[in-house]
Amino acid sequence: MKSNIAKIKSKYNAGMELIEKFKFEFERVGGVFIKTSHKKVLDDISNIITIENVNQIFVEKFENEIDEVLKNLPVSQIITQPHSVEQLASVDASITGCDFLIAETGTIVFTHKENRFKSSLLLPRIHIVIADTKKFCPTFEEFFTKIDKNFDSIFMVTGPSRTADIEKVIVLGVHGPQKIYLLLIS
Amino acid sequence: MNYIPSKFRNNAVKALLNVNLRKNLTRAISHTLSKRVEVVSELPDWENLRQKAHEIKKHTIENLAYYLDLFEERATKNGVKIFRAKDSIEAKNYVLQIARKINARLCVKSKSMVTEEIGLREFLEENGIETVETDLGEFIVQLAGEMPSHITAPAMHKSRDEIGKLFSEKLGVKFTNEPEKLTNIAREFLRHKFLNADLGISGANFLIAETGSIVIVENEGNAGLSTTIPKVHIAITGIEKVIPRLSDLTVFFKILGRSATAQRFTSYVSIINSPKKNKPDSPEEIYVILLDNGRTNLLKSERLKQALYCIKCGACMLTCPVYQRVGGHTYGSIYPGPIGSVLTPAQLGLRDALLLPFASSLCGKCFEICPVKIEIHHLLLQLRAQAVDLGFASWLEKLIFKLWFIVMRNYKLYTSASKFLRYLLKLGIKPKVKSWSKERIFPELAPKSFKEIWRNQKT
Ligand code: SF4
Repeated sequence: MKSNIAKIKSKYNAGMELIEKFKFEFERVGGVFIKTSHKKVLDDISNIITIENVNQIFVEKFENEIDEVLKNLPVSQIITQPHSVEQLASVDASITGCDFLIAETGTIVFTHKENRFKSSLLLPRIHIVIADTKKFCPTFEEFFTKIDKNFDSIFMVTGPSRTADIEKVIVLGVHGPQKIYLLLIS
Repeated sequence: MNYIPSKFRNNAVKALLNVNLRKNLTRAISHTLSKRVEVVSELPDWENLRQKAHEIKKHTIENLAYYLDLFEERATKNGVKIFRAKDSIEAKNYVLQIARKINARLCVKSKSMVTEEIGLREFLEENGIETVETDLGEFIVQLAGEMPSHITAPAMHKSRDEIGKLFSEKLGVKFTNEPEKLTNIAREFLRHKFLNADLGISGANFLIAETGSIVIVENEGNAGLSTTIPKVHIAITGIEKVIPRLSDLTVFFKILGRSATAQRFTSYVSIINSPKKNKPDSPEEIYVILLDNGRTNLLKSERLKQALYCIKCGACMLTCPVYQRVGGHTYGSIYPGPIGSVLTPAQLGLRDALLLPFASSLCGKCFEICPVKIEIHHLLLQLRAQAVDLGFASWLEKLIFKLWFIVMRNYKLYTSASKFLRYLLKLGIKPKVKSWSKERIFPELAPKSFKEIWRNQKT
């Protein structure tokens, strides 16, 4: 009985450690990490929308109740079915899901598949990613053993777009987002 | 200035006297190197990682034909078209053929050393296809009509003022020297190009044999866009970029960013397996051009083939005492610095790049920093020997070394020869070594040799 509790506890700790490690690395590269819940997620995104002054937003299709929640975002236009890449380039922010969160580097992994626009991860100034705790993976070693090798394409994102091409000064938001948020639903 | 390898000496003299250039170089290099120490030393198993990377590369290069075939087979199955190009002409013509077929007018390019190597951008422009570099550093260099001066930091020889002036002249914007504003100007300008391009050209950092994947590592997002928005994507890469397995990437992920830009990990990695299928925004066609262009020449030599392990991180350049002083342009080659002095002779033939293997102090710092443990200094030494065989050394130099060889192996000869030289110097007869003493004062010899002092003290 006692050992069972210890087991559960250590498993829980491992989970916490993973999240903490991810958070540390993600924040170190300039990401904004927010812990949230199903109830709170709309408020949290609404906050971001106000802070970042977002009018038009692209929202990816989520296969769960998040879809419904996101219909109530306080913006002037929500795009869910973009008719062109130009339209994706014209929005201020995008909200997407993701497939894996790699803790060792703070990397968000997206598989490029049906319903996922790779350009929506790059064109808008602000990128908001919604994930749950099932997405965590400690290392790339584990990641590469986990994934199905028949994927179409994969895109890995570690922090905002950056350059140091002018006198080694770091500038964020070169061609991709200037800011990236990760909302973890737990 | 005339940037060809045979002009190394003249260019080096000019670069050494260019105070601005040296200031720009020192700033960029010391910044990157000190940050690199930080991100490398936090890994407990750096040496282990280097060794692993070396072994993966060694294994692949030893079995290159096998892994290239495997890559071709898997990639073809994924719907990617493969073309093997013997040299730059074949590669360029193939690109042009595709561009013509799809009626391309605007091409966006992400950073790729191989396309620089074959002069692809100039070639496409000559053929009426507007071709834009989208990596900020490359964009700056393209605007200036120059060559990159480093393989991962192409515009590091320029200051913010110089870039500000360039932008206001070429893009017609108001002068600013703030990196943030300059970056924004480039973003706006290039955004328009991305959205209207019909062709995207990239390089590849790795090709994965088991899955037929193209792997591209970057920070700005321009490679991600160049390989997503245009209808057709062409990746051009050297045959040495193939590695066996997807999981081999774990090693390279740890070493590449740290060595190239002193980062723990780069912002973006694209692993591309197949065109379209059910992705909403993806090229309909993907081509991979596997370029030889002299690389198989390196395979013939047991020692020189190590140069094919190179992952083009540029660290050996930054740490090289010669590169640090003369900068990348001086070498007159797309690949400057220590590894460039091995790769360039392989491409152009040693005759056209004879001076490069000599542009090194053989201190071995390049080997120490190299994340795949290429013994660059040994390779340079071997090329020097080949250069001498080709008649690079003058009869006088050869004679001097022959005499030196005889004298050094005979104790009595050595003692009397050194006495004789001392005597000559006492008489005021100094050896004529003009290129050495032009900028330096010939040192005075100590009145007594070490051996004499030693003997006197003993008695
Ligand atoms: S030789 Fe080594 S250090 Fe130099 S660029 Fe290649 S991988 Fe980097």
